[in-house]
Amino acid sequence: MYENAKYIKNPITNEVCGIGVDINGVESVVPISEQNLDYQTIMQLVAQGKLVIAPADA
Amino acid sequence: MTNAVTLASLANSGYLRNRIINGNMAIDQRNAGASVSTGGTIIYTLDRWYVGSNGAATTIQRVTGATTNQYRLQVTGAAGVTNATVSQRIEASNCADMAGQTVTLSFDAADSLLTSLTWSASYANSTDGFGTLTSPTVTSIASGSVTISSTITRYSVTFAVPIAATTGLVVQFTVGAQTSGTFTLGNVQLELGTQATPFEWRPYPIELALCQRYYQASTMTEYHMVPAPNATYASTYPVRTSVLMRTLPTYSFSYVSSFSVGGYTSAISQGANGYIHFISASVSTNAYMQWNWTASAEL
Repeated sequence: MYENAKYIKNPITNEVCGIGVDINGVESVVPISEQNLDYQTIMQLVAQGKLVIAPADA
Repeated sequence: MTNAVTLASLANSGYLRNRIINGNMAIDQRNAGASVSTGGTIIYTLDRWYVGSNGAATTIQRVTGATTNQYRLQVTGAAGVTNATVSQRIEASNCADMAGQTVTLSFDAADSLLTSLTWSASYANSTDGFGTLTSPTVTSIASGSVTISSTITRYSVTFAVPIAATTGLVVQFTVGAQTSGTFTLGNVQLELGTQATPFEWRPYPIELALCQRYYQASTMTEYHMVPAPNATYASTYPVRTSVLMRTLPTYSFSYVSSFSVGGYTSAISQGANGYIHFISASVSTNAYMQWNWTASAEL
């Protein structure tokens, strides 16, 4: 179960560094990498309209 | 002829011949032997093994085998279950040499309710590109079924791996309507050759390290002091994984204690061998932040 997805930024470089998301209720950071299974799953859910990734805080 | 068979067996009797990781089900970093429900989806349970079911959720648990240091994966059925699967994906770098070869899959299995177990093998459509657990992108190699009983018994099957199957393999075990009772699996081995050799026992530290390439959990609580007074305190805290992981993992956090007054905590600058935890908080007295983490780079 993936919930509350949001891009997060590295506060030092101000660059997007991953996706913050609750996975089965556990706070997690998923790297933006096609090799990562959670990233693949999140992108699949987004494509299916089942999950939205909120933009990172400015 | 007898000598030829013997030599062939010897040629395939080398150490580390089993391409399955945690085939003896000893490593259970996620649940440490506790039972877990599949919850109607497909989840990783014992290290390297993912389990799913249709119709209803099943319960998965590492159980003790014939001896106290022998373990097996057990699926407990439930009303409404139409099938249940236990699978492992094998990274291309650990099995590419099997392409174009004949291999043998051997395993211990038993079922207290059902009498048929289906096995199958597939390969990823691109290097380590197996797709998601719910939508796999694989090509079938072979499948079959064996008759099983309530008595744990060792089985073996042999099949040819296509020359194109250099991209990673999947082995899967499927039982039908496990509406009650248990399906038990253990000592799974996939090896080159036409004969099943005895299950390869590997020392626990080696097996654990092999598993940690794909999943690992902190073995101690990370502990970071936030000194006061500071209107806003920001710091970074490096965390290293035990072994280099397969790829950039997902880092998950369970906070033992935390603070949120203007606080911001998260992983930044993730790597395959650790991450930097960024902490930003405002505290009036010395404070401590404690958390546990897991890292997942499963296929």
